[in-house]
Amino acid sequence: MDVEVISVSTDTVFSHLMFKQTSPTVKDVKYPMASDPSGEVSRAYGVWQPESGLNKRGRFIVNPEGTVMAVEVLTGPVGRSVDELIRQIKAMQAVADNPGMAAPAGWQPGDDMITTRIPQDVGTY
Amino acid sequence: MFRRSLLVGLASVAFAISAQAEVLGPCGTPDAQTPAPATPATASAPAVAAGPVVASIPLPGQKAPNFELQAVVGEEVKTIKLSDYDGKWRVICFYPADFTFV
Repeated sequence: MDVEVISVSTDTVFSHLMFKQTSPTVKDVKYPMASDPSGEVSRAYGVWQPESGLNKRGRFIVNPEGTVMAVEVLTGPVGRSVDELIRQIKAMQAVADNPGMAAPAGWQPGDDMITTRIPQDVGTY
Repeated sequence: MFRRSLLVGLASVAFAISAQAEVLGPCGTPDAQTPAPATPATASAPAVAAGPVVASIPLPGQKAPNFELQAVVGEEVKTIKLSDYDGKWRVICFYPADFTFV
C-alpha cells in the first residue's frame, strides 16, 4: 500500500515519549507521532475542541499530490475501523491506477471495478 | 482490552503499510487550477443563513493544509512536515490524548 501514517494530538512530545515507553501497544509504533500543543494544526483541520483543548478523532486520507481524498471525524468516545481505512485507501489507489474505472459500494481489494462516466477531472469528488 | 485492540490495529496498519511496499502507478491527474468565478456586480442576500461559526474541516478535493510539527519518530524527536511525504499516500490521524485509544 505504501502509505505514510502521521498521528497528531495536542500532547507534548514528552507525553508521546512517555506513552511509547509505558504502553506495550504503542511501543513499536513506527509512524511519526506529532505534537500540536497550541492546537494550531488541529484547528486548521477543524478537529480541535475549544472546551477541552483536545482533538476529535479526525482521519484524513491525502493523495500523493496533497489533496484530501476522504475525511472521517468521530466524537471522542467512538473508535475507528482500521479495516475500513485500509479498504478506502486500496480503493483510491485502485481508482488512481485505473483511470475511468470506479470502485463501487462495498468494493473490496480484488473485486472487479466498474466503468464510470464521471470525468477524471473530478476524480477527487 | 478494547483500547488495546484498536491501538494494535492502528499499529498494524503502519506495519502492514510498510511491509507491503507495492509500487504505485500513476496517481491520477493533478488538480487543474480553475479560475475563480467572477463576483456578481450586485450584492445579494446569502442563499443560506449564516449559522454559528464552526471549525472548517478540509473536505475531499481540497488541499490538505501543510504543517510543521515536532514528532516522536522511533525514539527520537524530529521536526516533520506533511510535505516531507509529498508523492506518497498519507493518513493523518488526530486523536484526543495519549493514554487513550487511538
